[in-house]
Amino acid sequence: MPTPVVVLAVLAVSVVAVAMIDLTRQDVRVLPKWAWGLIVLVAFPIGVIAYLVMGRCRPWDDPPDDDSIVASRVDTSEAIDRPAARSGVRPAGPPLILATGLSKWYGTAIALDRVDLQIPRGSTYGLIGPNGAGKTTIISVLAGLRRPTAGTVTLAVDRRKIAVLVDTPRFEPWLTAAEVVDLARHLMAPGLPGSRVEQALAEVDLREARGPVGGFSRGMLQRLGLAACLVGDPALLILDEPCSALDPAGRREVLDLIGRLARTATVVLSTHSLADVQQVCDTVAVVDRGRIRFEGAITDLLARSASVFALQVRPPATGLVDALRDRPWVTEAAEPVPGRIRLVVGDTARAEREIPRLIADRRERLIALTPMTNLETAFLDLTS
Amino acid sequence: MTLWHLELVRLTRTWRWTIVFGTYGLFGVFGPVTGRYLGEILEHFGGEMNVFIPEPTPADGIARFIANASLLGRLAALVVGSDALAFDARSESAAFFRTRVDRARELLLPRYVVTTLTATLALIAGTVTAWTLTAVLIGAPPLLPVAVGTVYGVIHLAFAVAMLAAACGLTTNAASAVLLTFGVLALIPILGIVPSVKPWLPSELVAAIVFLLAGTPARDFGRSAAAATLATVALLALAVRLHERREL
Repeated sequence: MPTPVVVLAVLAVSVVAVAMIDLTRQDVRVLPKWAWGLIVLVAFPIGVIAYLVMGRCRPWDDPPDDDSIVASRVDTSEAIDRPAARSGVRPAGPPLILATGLSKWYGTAIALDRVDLQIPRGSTYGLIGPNGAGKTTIISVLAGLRRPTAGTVTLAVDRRKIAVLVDTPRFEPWLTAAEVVDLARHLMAPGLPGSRVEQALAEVDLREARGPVGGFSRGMLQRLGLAACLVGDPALLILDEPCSALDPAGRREVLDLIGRLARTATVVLSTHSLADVQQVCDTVAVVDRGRIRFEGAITDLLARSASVFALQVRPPATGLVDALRDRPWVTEAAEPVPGRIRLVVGDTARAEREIPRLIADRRERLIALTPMTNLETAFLDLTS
Repeated sequence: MTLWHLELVRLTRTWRWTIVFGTYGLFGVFGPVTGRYLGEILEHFGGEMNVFIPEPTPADGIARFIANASLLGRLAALVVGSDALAFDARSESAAFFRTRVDRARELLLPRYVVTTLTATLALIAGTVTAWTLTAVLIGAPPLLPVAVGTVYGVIHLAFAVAMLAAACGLTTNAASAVLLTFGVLALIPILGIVPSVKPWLPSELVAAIVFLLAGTPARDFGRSAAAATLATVALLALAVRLHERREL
């Protein structure tokens, strides 16, 4: 029969063990984790009580500060009742990645809300959205680094043929660039020759980089991360903000590189930079507050909200401007420079049909008719 | 470069191996020296005080080595091992590895094995140093109990590193994992107050070498060794499971 002392000792050890396990799983307040651990171990039983009362984060405390977490809290029932996000035109071609009903919750904060994605094979797919929209969470789920709370991701590609670059890549600081890339080669495609390492480093202009990577700038680390992706000849490249730390020249090089890669691999690119997306992507998804506001060809996104046109004819164009102003679908027509007309329309489709007809009827000499809407306008239309 | 090569480079290029080997080596020297000269040292610093120290025996040199090395050597091994085993501590570098392997065990296995091997070699080096100096200064301790005791010490180190691996599955922070492991290892001997549990505790293996030199049969530690081995396997399985369930 165990004595009361033994029972108390076992109880004490159990309480401390439970508190320590709880400590490792919880976010803590007031003191850092290691300090709470020391207190729990040393000051039994006061330490355990102090930790449970003061140290433990409550469910209603703030969630961790993560760019990928939407700050606003939502009620579960409300989120489920809301209609699913509307998407734009679906891209053609068989999808390489098919995500259905992806949701991701962090406690009571929702990061993704029933996201559907179809990433076509061979496309250069841009994920754009404001800070905290859920881009990084989508990338993490696609890369297998996080599990969705609900929904499925179907990949029509071997996991070993997927290369992922996080927004701020870091490596063991005592390795050289060549060793990092060689390690990536070994893990992704051990059958490829060692010469691929030099090629990959050359492609990102790091062949001359010697010494440990701990001394690399953020831009160099980003390029090294790209080299570590390229070395395995991936079929799918998932890039989270690949140009965020690069200077204009570096940005240009990386975008050119992505453009070249797009010929042989499917590229999924998350970025804040609309200019980058416009330059390299053929398909885009606009993410906002955890939902997809648009998914489709970039040209469709631009056309969707095109309302400003630049019309250029041989001057004089005064009569044409007056005629345009008389049309009910024209909101504004101005000729700041002779022959160059800035036209704001209320009905884009009607404008696209009737402007050429009007020019022909008036026997004007047309030079150019260009939609002036850029990606930024379209993006703001969707997310504002 | 393979993941095994990476772990060897981690130890050599960062010189972390010197922390483990240095700790065991240092006590391998100090143990026999203090065992032999403790009387003289206390006499020198004790002033007029009369200190009676029994004549040192060969077992004293090894016992003093174990008394210090078992605690600080283990701590050094855990601290050095945590750098490798807490591979999710920095999410950016963790993403590099995790997106390139199918299962977390591919990452865990080389890290566990290399860490345990390093600690094992350091323990053996420290024991050899302690035995040699003891032989020179006091007299040669019997070789068989020292060898068997060292094997038991290695089993306990493997258990401690496995516990660290599991702790790294519970927490991403390396310092928390070391603290948790060290805390649990320190608490396990308390369970020894239950007489029927004591022979099964892995902590019994830590000072087995001392008891073996005092004449305790080696088989008396068989249950502890078996329990430690089973616990090591279980902890490694737990570590793999925890790492595979973790999200970055």
